[in-house]
Order: sequence, then structure tokens, then C-alpha cells
Amino acid sequence: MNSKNFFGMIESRFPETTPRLTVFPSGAFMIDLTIRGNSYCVEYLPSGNLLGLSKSEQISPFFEGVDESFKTVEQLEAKITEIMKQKE
Amino acid sequence: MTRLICVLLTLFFLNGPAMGENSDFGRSSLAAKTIPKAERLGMVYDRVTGAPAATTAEEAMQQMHRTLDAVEDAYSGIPRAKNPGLDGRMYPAQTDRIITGADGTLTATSRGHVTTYGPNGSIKVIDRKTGSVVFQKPGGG
Repeated sequence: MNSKNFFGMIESRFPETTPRLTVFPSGAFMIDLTIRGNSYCVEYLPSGNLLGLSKSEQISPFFEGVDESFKTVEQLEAKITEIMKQKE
Repeated sequence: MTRLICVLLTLFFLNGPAMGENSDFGRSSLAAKTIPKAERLGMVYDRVTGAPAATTAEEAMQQMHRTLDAVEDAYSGIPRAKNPGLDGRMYPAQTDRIITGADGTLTATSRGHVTTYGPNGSIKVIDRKTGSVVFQKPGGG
């Protein structure tokens, strides 16, 4: 998965989330998002072919999995859209 | 005399700590006890603080990860999974997100933190959001 293309998609589809990209030499990446005042993180880990979305409320500096994983980018987009549409 | 010894022994066992409280007998049952994640994390930091200082970045990272696995094995109540997921257990940093610097520094990034293992074995954990240091230990190298 190309991190810059993916980030470009997130940035154009969800500019109000003020996305922030962190890329790793392994091809892994993280995108920090702010949705309705809450911090979320999109994570891609090539080793486990894992694409996930989580609330960034992790207390430890270790790996704790992701709140929800997705098989396709479209599924992830749909989830972000759903969270953005949720009522208070 | 034998009766006196018997009475003293009886009194000792009746007044001693019960199994699972604070006695040596209770150690095995204590190990099976499940404790909350925040307390387990504190235990990891305490144990790493108390361990001899590492002298290389790799040694420091192994110390942190070995300590984490030991604490999680003993107190998470969740068996180690081959493919870590959202099971409530904390796992060592994923290799995808560990970067080796030119000076040998290892940097492991998670959702909430950046952990830096210095070439002299130092450890520093920083909160990504606030930039505050949540744990640090000097190196021994």
C-alpha cells in the first residue's frame, strides 16, 4: 500500500480531520486524525497485512492491536464517514 | 515439651498469613491473579527501573520486551497470541515500526508513544500527543 497515495485520499476526502502522516522505512504508516474532537489513528502494518482504525487512547508504549481492522481501503473510508456522521 | 512445641506450631499456623495473601505459600496463586493494564504497565516500568542498566540499544529494548512478556504472562490472564490483536494483552513493539538510527539508536513508535533506546542502553518513552516523558532510565554504556 502506498502511504502517500493513501494519505492523499484521506486528506482530500476528510480534510476536516486534519490528518498527520508518519511513515516508516518498512512501508508501515500511521495517520493521526481528529474526528469530532477525538483522536483516532489509522495504522498499516505490512508484516501482518493489517489496516486498522483505533481511538488513540492507548496508555502503553507497546502494541495492543487495533480497535477495528479492514480488508479494503473502501471499508476504512466507510468507517471514517460513519464516525463523522455520528451524533453527539 | 512435645506438647508445648505442638501448641506453638498450631498458634503459628493459625496466626500466619493465609495462602494467597502475603505468604510464600501464596506466590503461585498470586501469579495467577489478573490485574488491570495500567497496573501491569507500572509493574513493567518498576521492574525495568530495578534491573541492571543495559549497555546497548538492543539490550535495552530486549530488557523492556522480556519484562513486558513476563508481566503479561503472569498477570494479564491472556495467553500470548501468534498474531496479536485486540485481546487486552500488551505486546512488544511491532518490528514494522522500529527504526535503527545511524548511531545505533532504536526508535519504536506506537499509537500513543515513541520509545527511544539509546546506543548507551538508555530508555525514554515519550507521549506522542503531549511530548511529555512518561518513563526514562539512564543507560549503563
